[in-house]
Formats: sequence, C-alpha cells, structure tokens
Amino acid sequence: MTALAEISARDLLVPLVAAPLIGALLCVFLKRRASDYVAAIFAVITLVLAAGAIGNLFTDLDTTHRLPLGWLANLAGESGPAPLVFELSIDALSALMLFVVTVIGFLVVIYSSEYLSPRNVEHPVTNGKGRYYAWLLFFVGAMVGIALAGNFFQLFIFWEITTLCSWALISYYQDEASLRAGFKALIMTAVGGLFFLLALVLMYLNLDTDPFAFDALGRLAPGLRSLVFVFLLIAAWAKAAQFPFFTWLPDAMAAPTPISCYLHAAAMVKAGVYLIARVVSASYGLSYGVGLLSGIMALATILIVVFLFLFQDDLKKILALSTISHLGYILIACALGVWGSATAFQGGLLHIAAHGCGKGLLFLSVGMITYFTGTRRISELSGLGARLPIVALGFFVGAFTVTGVPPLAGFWSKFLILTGGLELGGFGAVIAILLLVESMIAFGFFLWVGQRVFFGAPSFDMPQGKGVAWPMTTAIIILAVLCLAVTLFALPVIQHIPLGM
Amino acid sequence: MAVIDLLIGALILLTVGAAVTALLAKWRAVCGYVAFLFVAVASVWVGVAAFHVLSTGSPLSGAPVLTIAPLNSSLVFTVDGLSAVFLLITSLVAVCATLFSVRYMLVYKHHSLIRYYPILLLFFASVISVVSVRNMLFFLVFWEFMTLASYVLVVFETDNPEARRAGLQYFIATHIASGCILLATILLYTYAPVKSFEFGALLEGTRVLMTTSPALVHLILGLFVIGFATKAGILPFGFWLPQAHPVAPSPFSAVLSGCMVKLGVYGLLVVFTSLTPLSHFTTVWGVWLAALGTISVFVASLTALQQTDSKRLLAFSTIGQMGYIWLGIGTGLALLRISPAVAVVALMAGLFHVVNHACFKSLLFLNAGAALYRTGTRDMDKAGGLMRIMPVTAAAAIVGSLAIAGVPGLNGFASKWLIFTSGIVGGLEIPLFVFLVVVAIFISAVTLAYYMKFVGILFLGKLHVGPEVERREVPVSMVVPQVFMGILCVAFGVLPMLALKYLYVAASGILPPGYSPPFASLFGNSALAVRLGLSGVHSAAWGPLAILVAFAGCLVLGYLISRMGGAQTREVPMWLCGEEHDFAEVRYPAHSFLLTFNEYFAKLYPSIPVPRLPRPAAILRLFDIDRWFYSPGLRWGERIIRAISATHAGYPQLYMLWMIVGAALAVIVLFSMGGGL
Amino acid sequence: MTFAINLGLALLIGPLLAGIVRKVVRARVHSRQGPPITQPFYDLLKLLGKEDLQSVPSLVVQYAPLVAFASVLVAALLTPMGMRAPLGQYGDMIVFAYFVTIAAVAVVMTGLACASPYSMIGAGREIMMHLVVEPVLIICLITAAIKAGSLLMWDMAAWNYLNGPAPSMVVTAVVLFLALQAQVGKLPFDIPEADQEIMGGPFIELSGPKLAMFQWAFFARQVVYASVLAVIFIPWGLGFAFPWNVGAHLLKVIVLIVLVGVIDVVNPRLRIDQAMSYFFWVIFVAIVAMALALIGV
Repeated sequence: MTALAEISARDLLVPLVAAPLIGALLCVFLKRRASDYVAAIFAVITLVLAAGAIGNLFTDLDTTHRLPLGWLANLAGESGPAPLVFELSIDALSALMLFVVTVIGFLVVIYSSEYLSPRNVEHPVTNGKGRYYAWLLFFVGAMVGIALAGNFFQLFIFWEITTLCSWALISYYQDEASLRAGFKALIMTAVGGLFFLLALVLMYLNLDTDPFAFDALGRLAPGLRSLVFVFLLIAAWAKAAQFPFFTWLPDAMAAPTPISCYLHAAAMVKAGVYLIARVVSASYGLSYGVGLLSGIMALATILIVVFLFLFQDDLKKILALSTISHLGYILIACALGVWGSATAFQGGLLHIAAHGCGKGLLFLSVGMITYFTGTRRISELSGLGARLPIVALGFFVGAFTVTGVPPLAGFWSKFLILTGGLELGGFGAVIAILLLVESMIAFGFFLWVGQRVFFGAPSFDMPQGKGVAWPMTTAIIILAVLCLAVTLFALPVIQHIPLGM
Repeated sequence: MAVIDLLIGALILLTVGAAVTALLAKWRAVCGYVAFLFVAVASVWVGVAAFHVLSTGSPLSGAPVLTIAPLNSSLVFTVDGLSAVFLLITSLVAVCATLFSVRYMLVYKHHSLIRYYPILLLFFASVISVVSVRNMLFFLVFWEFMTLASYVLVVFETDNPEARRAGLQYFIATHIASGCILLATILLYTYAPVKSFEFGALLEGTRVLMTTSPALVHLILGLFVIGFATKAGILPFGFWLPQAHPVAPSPFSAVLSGCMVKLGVYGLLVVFTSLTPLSHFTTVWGVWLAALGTISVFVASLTALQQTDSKRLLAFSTIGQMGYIWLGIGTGLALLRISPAVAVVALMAGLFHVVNHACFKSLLFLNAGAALYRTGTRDMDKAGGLMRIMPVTAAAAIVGSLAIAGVPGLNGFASKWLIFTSGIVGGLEIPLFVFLVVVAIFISAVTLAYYMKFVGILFLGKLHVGPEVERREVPVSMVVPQVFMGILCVAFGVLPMLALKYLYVAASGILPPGYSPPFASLFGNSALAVRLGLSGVHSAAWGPLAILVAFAGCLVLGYLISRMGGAQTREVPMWLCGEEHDFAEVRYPAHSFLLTFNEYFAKLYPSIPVPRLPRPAAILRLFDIDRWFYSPGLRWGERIIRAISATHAGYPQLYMLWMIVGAALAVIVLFSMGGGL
Repeated sequence: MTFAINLGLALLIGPLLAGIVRKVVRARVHSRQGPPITQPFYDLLKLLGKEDLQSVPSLVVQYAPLVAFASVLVAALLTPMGMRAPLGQYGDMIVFAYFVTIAAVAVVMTGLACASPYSMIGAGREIMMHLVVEPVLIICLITAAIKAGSLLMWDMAAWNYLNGPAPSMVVTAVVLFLALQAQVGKLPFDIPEADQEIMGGPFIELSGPKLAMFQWAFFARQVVYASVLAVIFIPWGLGFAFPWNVGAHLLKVIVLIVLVGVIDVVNPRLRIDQAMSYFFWVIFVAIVAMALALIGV
C-alpha cells in the first residue's frame, strides 16, 4: 500500500499513453474472441491508470505535474535554448479530458465486442476484428496523448495521429461510401492540421524561449497573437466539424456505430474543442475580436445545424448534426471565456464531459437499434420500447442529457453557459438566448424522434432471445448512470481550471 | 432528531421506494402495495413536518445537503408556511392516488409497471423538493425533474397515439415554460448584488433593477408568469392540459390535477412575494394575473360544458378552477399595497381553493377512473347510470361535484365565497375586479351545470353499460381513497375556520412581518362562522354550521310534511306519453345535453392543427456546402491537375521541349532578378 | 320570532299568492269564475295523500324534492322580509344566491335521475335558464353591495332606505324585475317545465308527495325572490314599527307577484334560444348599472 501511495500522477503518464498503444500492437496479431479479451484488458488497464492519475491529482487540483521527455537540438534558436517538444503533463483540464477519453473508450471497446459480430443485422462482421481493435486502441492512445500533451508541439503530433486513426476507422467496412467518407475526413482535418502547423511555425519564429508552451500565445505581440489564435481556431473547426468544415462529420456516419460514438462523444471532435479550451485557459490577452469570430462562427454552426436536423431521417445523422451543434456550444463557451466569463468557460468544460456521456449514450443506443433491426431510418422504426426497454432508456436519458433536462449533466453545463452569457450582457446575452432557443428546438425534436421510434406498435420482431447483447446493455447502463453522476466528478475539477485573463 | 429531518427522511424513503418498486415490478399487485407503503410512511412524515410548521408558525430549515460552488448555491431544505400547505396537499393526494393505483394499474396487462411506481415515487419526491427549497437553481432542477417524471407517466400508454401526442405537447410546452423561468432567474441573478440563486439574493437583484430599468423587471416577471401559467394550465398557455390529463392513468390524472398544476400557483407566490419587493409591480401584475385567471375560468368552463369525454371534461374544469385560484391570488397581490386586509383574505382564499381543489379534483378524477376501470370507456355517451352498480363511487362523485360546483356546506363554496367577497370588496379600490367576479360567479353556475352533466349522465339515471361490464362496486382499495377525499370535502366545508387558521399562518408568512392584520380582526372570533371584517364592520358572513342546522331542520320539516298524507309507494314503468319504446331508443345522449347553450360558445376554444413543416429545398441546398463549394472546388482542382498531366503524354520529344522551355524561362527569370550574369 | 315570520311568509303566503293570481288575474283575463284563492292549499294536501308512483328507484329522486324545499326555506331565512333576517348574520348575498341555486340543482338532478327523455330535456333547459338568469340576480346584488359596502342583505336594504334612491339602484331594480319572471318560472319563461310540450319536464315522473314538495318549494320561492327585490330595491316601509314593516313588505310582495301574474297570462312561451338572447341583453343592462354604481352614481 505504501508503495502505491508513493506513486505520483507524474509516474503514471508514460504507462498511461503506452498501455493502449501496446494493446493496439498486440491486437494486430489476434483474431475474434482473443482480440476481444486483449482489447478489453488493455482498455481496463488504461482506465485504471487514468483513474489512478486522476485520483492522485484530486488531492491537489491546482498544480500541473510535468514530465519532460525530450528536446530537439535542431530547433535551438540563435539566442535561446532548444525548446522542449516532447513532454507529458497532467492538470485539471487534462484530467477532465482523460476521464472522458478513457471511460468512453473503455465502454466502446466492451460494446464493440458484441456489436462486431455475425449477429449484427445491419453489418454482420465475421473477421477483421483484430484490425479494428488495433486502430481503436491506437486511437484511445492518441487521445490520451492529446489529453496529456505538455505543449502544442506534442499535442500536434497526437492530433495528427487521431486524424489517421479516424480515417482508418471510418473506412473500416471498406465499402464505397465508407472509403469515401474516411478519405473526406482525412483530407478536411488534415487541411485543418496544416493551419495548426502554421501556427506552430509562427510561434517558433517569434518566440525565443519555450515557443510551444501552452502559454506561448500570451507572449506574442497582440496582432500576431490573434493570427495564431485564428490559425488554431481553423484547425479546431476542421477537427470539431464546425461551419464551414462540418460536412465531413455526417458522412463519417458510415463508420461502425461504436466508432461514431467514440469519434463524437469523446475523441476526434473533442480534440478540436480541447485545443481551444487549452488555449483559452492558458493564454493571456486574447482580443475581443477573436472571441467574436469564434462565437459568431459557432453560433452560425449551431443555428444551421438545428435547422438541418429537422429534415433528417437518418438516426445517426441526426446525432452527428447534434454533435456539431454541441461542439458549437463548447466553442461559444470558450468565446465567452475569452470575453472574461469564467462561469461560461467552466460550463463549456463541463459540457465536454456532459456531452461526452450523453452523446455516447445516444450513439450506443442507436447502435443497438441498428444491430437488431438493420435500419436507422426513423420512418421505418416504431414501437421499439416494448422490445428494447434498455435501449429506450438509453436513448431518452441521452437525449435529455444533451438537451439539458435536469438533473442530468447537460443541464448544469448549459446552465453555466447561459449564466455566463447573460452575465456578460450585450452580445453575450443575445448568444445565451439564442442557445436557449436552440436547446428548446433540439429538445422538441429529440422527444419527437424518441416517441416515434420507441412508442407505438412494434415495427419488427425480435429475432433473438433476450440477454444476448449483454456487453452492449452493460455499456448503455453504465453510461446512463454516468449521465447523472458525471457532474459530481466534473464540477470539482472544472473549478480548478483557470481562465487566462 | 429535528423535524426537518422527517422531510429529508421522506425524500430518501421515496427514492429507496423507487428502487425497490423497480425491482418488484414483475409482481404487479405486490409492487403496488409496497409503493403504497412507502408513500404512506413518507407522506405521514412530510405531513407531520408541515403541520409542525403551520402550528408553530416558524419555518424549519436544515443543513446544506449539496453545494454547487461555481454558482454559489447550496441545497438546503426549508419549510415555511406556504410550502407546508403545499406539502400537506401533496402528501394527501399522494397517499390516495397510490392506494387507488394498486388495483387500477392491474388493468394494464401489457405495460411494465417499472414505468409507473418508481417514477410516481420519484415524482412525489420531486414535488416535495420543489416546495421546500429556497434557492431558485435547485427549484428549477426539481421543477424540471418533476416535469420529466410526469411526462413519463402521461405517456404511460405508449401504444395510444393520443397519449403520445399529448405527452409530446405537454413536455415541449412545459419545457419551454421552464426555459422562460430559467431565463428570468438568470437575468435576476446577473443583477443581484450578491451572486447567488438564493431567493433573498435574487430579491435584492429585483430591487436594484426596479430603480435602474423597470422595463426589464416587467419582462422578467412576464417570463415568470408565462412559465408558471403554463404549468398551472392557465389559458392560453395551458393548452396542453386538456390533452394530457385525460390520457394519463387515472390515479396520475388525479395527481396531475390535484397536486402538480398547483405548483404553478406556488411558483407564482414565490415570485411575487419572495423575489419581488412589495411595489407597484406587484399591483400591476396582480391585476394581470386576476384577468388571466378569469379568462381561463370563462373559456375553460364553457368548453367543459361541451365535452362528452368524462376525463377531458374534468381536465377543462381543472383549468377553470385554476382560474379561480389565480383570480384570488391576483386580487390579493394587486391589493397588497392598497388594502392589506382584503389582500390577505384574497390570498388566503386562493390558497384555500388550492387545498380544496386538490381534494375534490383528485376525488373526481378517481371517480372517473373508477368508472373507466369498470366500464372501459371515458365516453359518457357510452356509459351511464353507474350508481346502480357503484353506489359508493357515485356518492363520492356527487359530493365531489357538489363541492367543486360550490354548493354551500362543502369546501368549494367556502373558498369561492372568500374569492368572490374579496373581489367585490377589492372592486371598491380597483373596479375591474368586480367585473371579474361577476364573470366568475356566472361561471360557477356553469361549473354546476357541467358537473350535473358529469354526475347525471355517468352515475345517475338508468344503468347503461355494455353486457361485458361486471356489475359490482370497484375494489375496496379504490373505494377508500374516494371516501377519504369526500370526507375531507365535507370537513373543510363545514368547518372552514379550521383550515383558515392554518392558511393564515401561510399567507401572513409570505408577507413582510407585521403587514397582515390580526386573524381575529379579519375573520371574527367565532370558530364556527366566518365573519369577514374588511372595512371595520362585518361586511360578509358565512356560518356553515348555523345554516346547515337550519337546512337540516327544514329538511326534517319537509320530510314530516311529505309523510303527512301517508302516501303509498308503487313501482311503475317509465311513462313515455303512452308510446312503447325501447329505452336505448329514447336515451338522451350526453352531447345533446345543453345543445342550445353550447352553440353560443362552440368557437370559444378553437383547436388549431399543428402545421406541417414544408421542406425548404432552397435553404437546405444553401447549407449543403459540399454541393456548391467543396465538390465544385474539387472538380476544378481535378480539372487543373488533369490539364497539367496532359503535358506528360509519354513522348520523349515533348519532355525535351518542356526542358528547353523550362531552361529558357529559368534564364529569363534569373536575368530579370539578378540584373545580368 | 323572525324565524316564524319568514317561514310563515314563505310557506303560507306563497301558495296563497298563487291562489290570488289564479283567481284575481288569470280567471279575470280568461273571463271565468276561477277557483277559490285557497285552491293551491287543497291541491297540496291532495297531492300529499296521493299514491307515490316510482319509475326509477333512485335516491336522488327520493330526496331531491326535500332538498329543493329545504333550500328554498333556508333562502327564505336568509332574506330580510321587512326586518332583519333570522340567519342574516350567518350568510350574505353569495350564500343566498347559492341556496336558490341548490333548488335549481335539485330540479336538474331529478330530471337527470328520471332519465326519461322529457325530463332530460327539461333538466337541460333548467340549467340553461339558470345559467342566464342567475347572473342577473348576482349582478344586481353586487351592485347593491357596492353601494352599501357590505355583502349582507340587510345592510344593503338599510343603505338604500337611508341613502336611496341612487340611479344605479333604480336601473338595477328594473333589471331585477325583468328577471323575476324567469326566476319564479312564469310565462314567457316557464321553458323547463313547459307543460304543453314536455309534460312538466323534470317533474314528469313525479307524483304524490314529491310533486307536492316541489310545488310548495316553488310557491315559497316566489315570495323569496319577490322579497329580495322588495326589501333591497324598494325599501319603502323599512322604518315602520314592528307589525307594520312586515305588513308593508307583504304588500310590496303581493303587488310584485300580481304584476308577474299579469305578464304570465298575456304572454306566449319563448323558445329557449330566444329566452337566452333576451337575458344576454338583460345581463348587459345589469352590468351597465353595476358600472354606474362603481363610479358612484
């Protein structure tokens, strides 16, 4: 016990990134059941390590535990020392992200073991599971890396790895549509990544010491600072599927549903908002204008998307569009944070976790629907509640979480964002009221969809006996509980995430 | 143990009960009795705590249970006089409805009870929580959770399209209403000098705003009113109510009407007494509330007259009765600054009607539920004369109907009498109220009319049911709650002072200390008669006991006279002017009743169909960025690349040419840059 | 003693007045001899002894006549008849209005419980008539209450005696007289009973003592309604010493009832929709009068 107690969060960082990567390597050589177990074991290991790290941090949430790993001598400037480029660190914001990434990653792995099976009506899968888990665990590792990255350079490296993983996973079924969608996602996010790179270059050229550190933006000249921020923002927009780059996300629904779940709830798109949250949290002196830009674009995204999903018949695409608008929420919260509202910023951070759980739950539920029925068209589904009560529970809890019905997590985050917006007054208040309106419309729509799909006369006969899909059911139940409980974990954490002023 | 712990204990008990009933859901009857047990114990605890507050007159408060630091809010359970009143009616309705459910819910053979009892228990817990917090953030949380739970129960019959539509309408409408409340709350919070969601802090926020921007105060109060009016079913915001109340399982309809819609009134009182300082805003909005209430009274009651669905009739009646309550409360708030005596009486009248309506409306929904349980239909054209087979239910229904119609001696009269009296006396200050009272009194005759219709057609007269209907009274567990509620209706009717004494504690508790005149000066010293002294002299009186004794005496006198002649009784067939008819042929159906009168008011409550959203193809194309931007962009890129690749045709001569051209270009460039070799 | 006076006036003068109207008004207009003025008493006594035919064994039919009878008597006890009412300290005008409503309810309940198509139609009409006539009474009484500043009926009468006549009170008196015709169920407004078309409507299945109780209740109701109009709006004679104030009141009631009788005899029955349109206008005028009272006229 004493040995355990002496371990600090810092010691766990390397194993934390390494565990999923090792798992991924092993999975490449495994098949079927074996790959299920190995993937599950490594997901659990990652989860336990993450829990250890977060638990360790909990005693002192205000510190940052840093673990420098390496320098690039070539990058040494004329005057300063070589900048630190490889570095892991953990602080409150990392912990929040780490929580989302590992918990949902773990649940997705469990869920996949049943989802990718010959019993799946929509896409019976008999082989290729090893490849699937390899990429998935690689993805988890990359996301853990993003969460734990100690500077922008390190973050960028993992950032591009996630792009790669998402390409592989979106194209997993290897049919025409999924190949196209994967390629589209790769191109669009990679173009965004170029802007990230550009930002890195600008930082490197203009700063002598520590050009890649998270607080680097604050040390730039004001004009340049805005430019770099805008470049990072473009990268984030591409990653987080914001207007005008949002088109890759609905197409990416060609991926297996657990992958869509991970992509939307925890990984990929969250990386984009995490980057902005990180910048806003660490940088000083961001101008009103960049806040305005990011706020208006996010607001435009939200309003376009809420309009789009009223005319959508595909369950997964609805969820995809809803994801886009919720990332918009988080970016708006960051924009409000740039304008000085700590409340809204904290709300946005809480929304990362809340939306992660809610949207994850929605995706897993929809996945189970397609698993049993083979369709995800709303017009073809009805009366599923009687046959799949757990799925109905999952869907409604998820929908109520993302649309913000108390006491579920989404309410608290939206409440904080609204409060922050109204506190700022002026344009902030306008944004807040528009968000409220969007929230109402989305709520009505989700309720309608839920009733349409789960109530009424059953549209299909249950092909198998009950209890077959226990890994999926378990994942849904755990996530449903988390939708309620995540606030308890996240609220203490977000209070310790500073807002750069 | 402190008394407040009873309340917290009850909340824990209900939550545990929810878990237990969820596990027991397969054993349908057992599950019901277990749920009843939990609710009964929790209700007794809550009732004791509430009664303690009302009898001592001092609020109870506990320790913080939960703290949300970013919003400076902590969850503290507090019971003051006002909440105690609502806690009492909640526990009453809860016990009765749950007991009634036990047998009633066995009807639903194909629906899992896991969607009923656990949710019902959580619903009660949330109602109790809503009225016992003094923090707007937690108020909202519990408020919306209550909506969520009630939604689940409203759509309990998920295979019924009517229920689905009603549920959707209900939840969306109330969610938007909660949005209004949320917005108003946050607006107040942002102006509060001390950043907190405690009622006290928000009150200071209003005080600040009143001097800096009165228009915003009106906006905020308007948002609050819309929010609470929606929940309370006040027209035009309560349009969801006539759809949602009938489709819920009957015991829950009783809870909806008896308990949940009342919380709209609670919220309103909180807003205007705890969040708004006594000012001209109170007066202005009081008048608005009274007017809104009267509109509801008028429209809903006349519409109720036209209904043939028993539960829908009751639902419209709920809107109407809520209108009476709003009239009372509105009168009270409007007169608060002008004439505290009248105002306190009016507020108490509103609260008294809240209590009374909880008694008789849940009773009536249980009656309708019992009839539905027995006959399987809510259509009054298809069933009637049930007194023959269900005498106790029918008797309870008659008591309930007479009470809600305001027949003297029953509780509905006592509260309506107070509402009317305070309105008329208040009219001397603000004349509008007299007109509102005239409308309200007129409508109380309408109320009588449609309850005559309800009781008359459903219970009195000749038995008219299908052959499959079992000809006996509903089970005991369904009879007991009805009888209990019926007794309450009579008790509050005969001894109104009993209730008024405690309601005075509630009403004076929400006003500034020392603001309300002493009880005896308002209501006289007699425990048996209410003698209102509103302008120095006794200006109105209602002594139920004396009047009832006189009434009983007259009854005896009448009986003696009617037996005087020693007339014999003989059974005869019905006389149809000498013609031979089958009864079914000449039966007078529910919809023809009052046909002439209804024709005047048929258009009063228009049903507006939901417009279908057309698919705006142009806008959708506009947002399809792929189509008009990325794809053409890619195509152009491809075309350019193809054009370039056309230059690599595979002929060595061509490559030689490019090399020469390239070299030449390079030379030219170098020359122009460097200014010579 | 006031108990005895009020009950006596209601129970004994009621039938007597009906006799007077039949003998003095109707028979005179019909140019015939007419029955003796005590005939209503003979009718009642005869009915009380007659066989009670039951087509529906319903508790409601059993007791509704008694309820109607008792509630009219309570209304009578609440009404000041030349002097303070015996129960005036226990019930104000709203209580009074509700008790007269109970009588109507008893009629309706009887009609519904009998379930004969005739009685159902009669019950429906009774409700509709009540719905349009009751507001007139209420509005008139509220007008008086506004002027008097009290809801107690004696206070209103006293105020009018001391401070009247006010224009609003005069208009109100006229309006209340217009409603009186319907309140006591006389032509052209005897639509719910309408002997010639629906055979007495709600009472079609009643016979013997039950019918007697209803009839007696309605005789008494005439006195009660006439008394309200007489005592509050025509306060002449209130200040007289004891026997004379009651006497003056009686005189006013007799005059009113005879007037009603005259109108009854010379008019045909209206249809229910015509009657309702008519009363909407009456209500409108009553409200105007109330508005006058509110502005202090």
